Amino acid sequence: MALRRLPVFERWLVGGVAIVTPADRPDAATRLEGTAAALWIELAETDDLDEIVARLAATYQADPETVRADVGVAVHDLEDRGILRVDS
Amino acid sequence: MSTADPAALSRHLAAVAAFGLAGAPPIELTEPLSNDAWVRLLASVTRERLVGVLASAIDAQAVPVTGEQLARMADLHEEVMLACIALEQYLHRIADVLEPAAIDFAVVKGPAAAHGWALDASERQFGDIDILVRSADIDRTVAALEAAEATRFTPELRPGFDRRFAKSVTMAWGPFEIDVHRTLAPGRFGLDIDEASLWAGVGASGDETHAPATFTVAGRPFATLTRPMHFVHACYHAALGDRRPSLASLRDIQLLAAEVTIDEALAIAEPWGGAAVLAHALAEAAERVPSEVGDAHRWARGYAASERDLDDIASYHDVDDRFASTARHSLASLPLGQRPAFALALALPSAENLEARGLTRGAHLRQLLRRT
Repeated sequence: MALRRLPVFERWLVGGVAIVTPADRPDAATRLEGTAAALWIELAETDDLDEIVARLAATYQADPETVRADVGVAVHDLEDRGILRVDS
Repeated sequence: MSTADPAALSRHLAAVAAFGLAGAPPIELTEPLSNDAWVRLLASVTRERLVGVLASAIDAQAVPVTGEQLARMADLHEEVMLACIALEQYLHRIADVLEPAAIDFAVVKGPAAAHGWALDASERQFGDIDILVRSADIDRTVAALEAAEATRFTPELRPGFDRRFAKSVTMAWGPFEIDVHRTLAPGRFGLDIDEASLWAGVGASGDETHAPATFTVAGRPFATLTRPMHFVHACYHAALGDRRPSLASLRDIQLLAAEVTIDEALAIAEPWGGAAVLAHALAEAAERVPSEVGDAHRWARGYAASERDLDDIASYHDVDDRFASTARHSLASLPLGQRPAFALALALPSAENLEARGLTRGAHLRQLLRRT
């Protein structure tokens, strides 16, 4: 499964929170924190979901299945907000 | 907590302005400032447009803060960055208007800095949009933006003045200011800029020495100046703009000085008679944003400006009447054949311009005579 960032206006705030606004939804700013923010950072390096899960599990020394579940929730949320696209 | 006196706060502010730059002094804070001192530092950082740089310093743990101070900083940073995002949305709207009209434009200053030489886009705040167009295109650029409901602050002085003599046309679009430039500075130094050389390299793909003269915002590419040209522009802006340039403007110079050699900058500025402008700007940047990289500062320390150049630069900082001072110097620098049109525009502006400024023709002439 490939995850692709969609065109967004983006800034990172003090404390590691991102604000992203889809290019085609200028009034729909979204704050990314926690897992969503970590996912967004990883998407700059790779579009492969399995690789992203592995990298986050290693970074945070967390159970990969727990990470996969958390990332899955974030992916669906960001997809709904027009920030990323899922390619099967 | 540290209760910093004004001198200490001034040192902290300079260190914040130089944060992340090579050779910069450390920020000498080992414990959070008192709330009173923190409020004063935030006010200074806001005035100097360094909110994003302070945020980076906090994230890097170079500035210790209390939980309450961090929360206040987060609110301020978010406010500033949301404004930048909103401005970038207007940048897309500008492209939507100008591209179908086949009007070439380059983005300069704020967004170009944020997505170009700034250490991170979230460090570099900006409060308006500046675009550069060719002189021949400035009238139809303004017309195209007006058709999209942007409004110019003041009607043109006289027909033809903008494309021949103006630095820029300032417009309002929604809540924001859009500056449509045809040159990089007002007055003599702006008039002396050769347009062909200014546009050389705009939008170029870059090479092993310098980054491309383009940047992308939300998936859309924008043309901008080359890095050497941005460096020259940053120096012109600092030396010839506000009497006391912001620390953010001086930080731009220091960041660009790390990428651009003085020979590259002089190859641009010397044919324009602008070497003294570079030296002036570099001297102020070195004094107020301590960081020394590259060869530009060494050159600046050894540069001796002519009396004429010093006098012309000083005219931009005339505390009594900058407009009159720069107008006199502009008139003196123009070729003889262009002086009558320039003088006529200043002496006899259009009725529309006078009405917008609330002046009768007689009142304008009396004001002009007093000022010149």
